Amino acid sequence: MSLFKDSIKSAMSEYLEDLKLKLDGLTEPELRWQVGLESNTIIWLVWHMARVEDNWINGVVGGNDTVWSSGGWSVKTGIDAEDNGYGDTPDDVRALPAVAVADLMDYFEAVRSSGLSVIDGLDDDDLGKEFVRRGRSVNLEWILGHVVVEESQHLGQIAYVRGMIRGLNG
Amino acid sequence: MASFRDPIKSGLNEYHGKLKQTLDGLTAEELLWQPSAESNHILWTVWHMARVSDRWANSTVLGNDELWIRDGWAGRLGMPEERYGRGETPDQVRNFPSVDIDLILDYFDAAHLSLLGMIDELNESDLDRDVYASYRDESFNIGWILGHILAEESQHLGQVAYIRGMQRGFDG
Repeated sequence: MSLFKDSIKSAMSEYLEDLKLKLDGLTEPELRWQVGLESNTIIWLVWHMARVEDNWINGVVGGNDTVWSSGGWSVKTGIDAEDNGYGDTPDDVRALPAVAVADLMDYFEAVRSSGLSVIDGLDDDDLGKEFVRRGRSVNLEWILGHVVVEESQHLGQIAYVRGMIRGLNG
Repeated sequence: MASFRDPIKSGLNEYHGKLKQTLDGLTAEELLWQPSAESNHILWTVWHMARVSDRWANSTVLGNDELWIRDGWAGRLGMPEERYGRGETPDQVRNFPSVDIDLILDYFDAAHLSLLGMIDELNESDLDRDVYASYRDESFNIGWILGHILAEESQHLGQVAYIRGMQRGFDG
């Protein structure tokens, strides 16, 4: 590794690969288990993680259609085309349609493959560039750091929920 | 001059700042609450986060003493110098001393500043270098370490937020 940019890509690869390990062998009831009525399920978190990365990297930074939209993933998964999880209520979390986690991970891989081309196309001149999201202006530095922080937070939550269900080494 | 060092530092500052907001107003009981017998509590998780930043930055990458030892944080918190959190058993987590969260956060602030300083000292030519972590008997690439700190610390922040949510509810 020879560039600071590669450290960001390495962190992105780490949380995606770690996610696959944490999902390994989980059953449908485990994926939809809620510790409390207002707690997120693993399946909701996986879908939200993929949507978050897609929106930020492909949509906002890349200036492209999201893979969710261009790849027809809303139709494939039966999940609302516009919703990405942000601001979902506890009822929304529970009402996430039945969807195979394997399909969500296929979507996540497609998001990543497209997003890596976006990131590879960035250079030092792009730093400082401002992007508007939900009426707020943020720069590229903030977005790249934020994607890793937000996605990793959700991965940590999935690991924690798995631990509550399965125990320490389960 | 702008460099891709900046997104890394922005992410480090984001989780460090968010942690403080997420801890705001929690009681000593809430900090030690466990949803199940094998789940980590918030106090342990915050302490471990501080140890992670300190060890990677000061010991593993820079090859210096940890602030935990050099600046006497272990003594101030009444904890063993070698204690780090990795591989601990549920019993060790449950029996974690009820230390002052503000003291842990002071230690974390110091570790965080040293981590930012470490990143400023690095050049892109350093990122290819491997460093040896004696506590794991394993070598790590410095470029990988920078991404890993961001990913690991943020995972633990997400857990702190989730545990708070279990106790306080959706917007609590």
